[in-house]
Amino acid sequence: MTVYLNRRTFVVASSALVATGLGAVSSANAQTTHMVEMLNVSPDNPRLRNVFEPRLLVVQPGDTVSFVSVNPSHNSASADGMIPEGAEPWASQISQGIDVTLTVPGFYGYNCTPHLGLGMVGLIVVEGDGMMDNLEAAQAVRQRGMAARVWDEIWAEATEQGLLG
Amino acid sequence: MRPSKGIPRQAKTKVANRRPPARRWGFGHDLLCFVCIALFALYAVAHADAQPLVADGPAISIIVEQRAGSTELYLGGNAQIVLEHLGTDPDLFLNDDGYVPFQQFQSGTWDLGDRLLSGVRVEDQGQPIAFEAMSLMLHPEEIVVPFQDAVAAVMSVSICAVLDPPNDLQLQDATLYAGYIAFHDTPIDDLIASFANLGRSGPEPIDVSVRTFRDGRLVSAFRQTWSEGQPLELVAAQAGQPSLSLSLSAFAVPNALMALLCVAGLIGSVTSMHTHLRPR
Repeated sequence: MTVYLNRRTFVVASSALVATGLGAVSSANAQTTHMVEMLNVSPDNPRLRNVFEPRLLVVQPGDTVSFVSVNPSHNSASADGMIPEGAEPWASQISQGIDVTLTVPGFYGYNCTPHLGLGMVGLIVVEGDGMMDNLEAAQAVRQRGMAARVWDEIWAEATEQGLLG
Repeated sequence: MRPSKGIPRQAKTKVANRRPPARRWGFGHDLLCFVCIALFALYAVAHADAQPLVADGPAISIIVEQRAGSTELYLGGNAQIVLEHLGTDPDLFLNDDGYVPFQQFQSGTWDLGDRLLSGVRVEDQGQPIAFEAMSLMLHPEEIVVPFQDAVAAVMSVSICAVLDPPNDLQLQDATLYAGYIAFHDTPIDDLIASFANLGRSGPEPIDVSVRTFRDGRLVSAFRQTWSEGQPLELVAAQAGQPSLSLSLSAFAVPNALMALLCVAGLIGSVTSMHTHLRPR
């Protein structure tokens, strides 16, 4: 069977195809904002104090992570030696939130500056090509006080989720 | 005359004068009551230390939390007394005007915490254990911060007690809290902390309390006096040590059952005494 298209039908059909394609591309590149709360007490375990919730987050390049200051006295700062090469470090003021857009794939460790020793740390994994490049360096950073234990837990969680390869 | 309803007067009088026979619960009951009262007294003594730092409390309170693979150590007390007795330079905690620089503490206080404990040697069965500071905080003296177990202690070393810290706080008017952690492969059985006296301790002996927990459960609590010029050794949780604290804790666990026994004992005692004292 032969289908004949007149000019108007052709234009409408091709426009629809182009629009659909653009929509798909746009959807694939949609940038998401993720929330991380800075809390005095874990909502899941009241014995855990000074926490980021969630403390492990997986995002796509271009996504934004919004650190929300729910309880005062906390901040979010990228951890020295725990972000990919070429990525911008960040640090918010105490008791203030911050929005961080992450474009370089890799592992981003961060902490609350005054509460680092108490284990208030977190990890963001930006998926994409080259994401494993800084894994070894990030895991090799010496941790202070309770942070050592919490980082062990976070790396274990990341392993369980298949994020470490 | 209105007819009387119910029991005739004579009968009422008889009923009123009739006393039930004295109910004797027996020697066993009396003995049980005595035991419960004794346990209550022991329980009260054992938990006498379970209070936040107060004016008439110990000069320095120490909390030890032992877990599998790690031990946490928390110190609390008047800042000036703690610094003097641990031989720490107070200038580290003061700005040029002689006040506590709260703003500087926002970048982390573990370095100060390490300095504070630098004169303390902690060991397990002769082997040194390296404690690392987690955090240190100073609170205005009038702010009562819970400090009865490790969970509360974490808050005391991490949370600002006031939203707007004063800029004229002096060390003698501040309470210092510091938290430390040490990781170890094998459980610690015999924790001894020797506080080296560096010749700066105050002229008066001070009272030190030590409360030790294992996985959040209190296993010992005791006080001792730390005299000037003497090292302070803290035996924090010796298994099998026939100390008063451990004996008490053996009676006091579980706490809820203990409290129930005490209440039952007291009620029983009152009932028994009432029965015995009632005129027959």
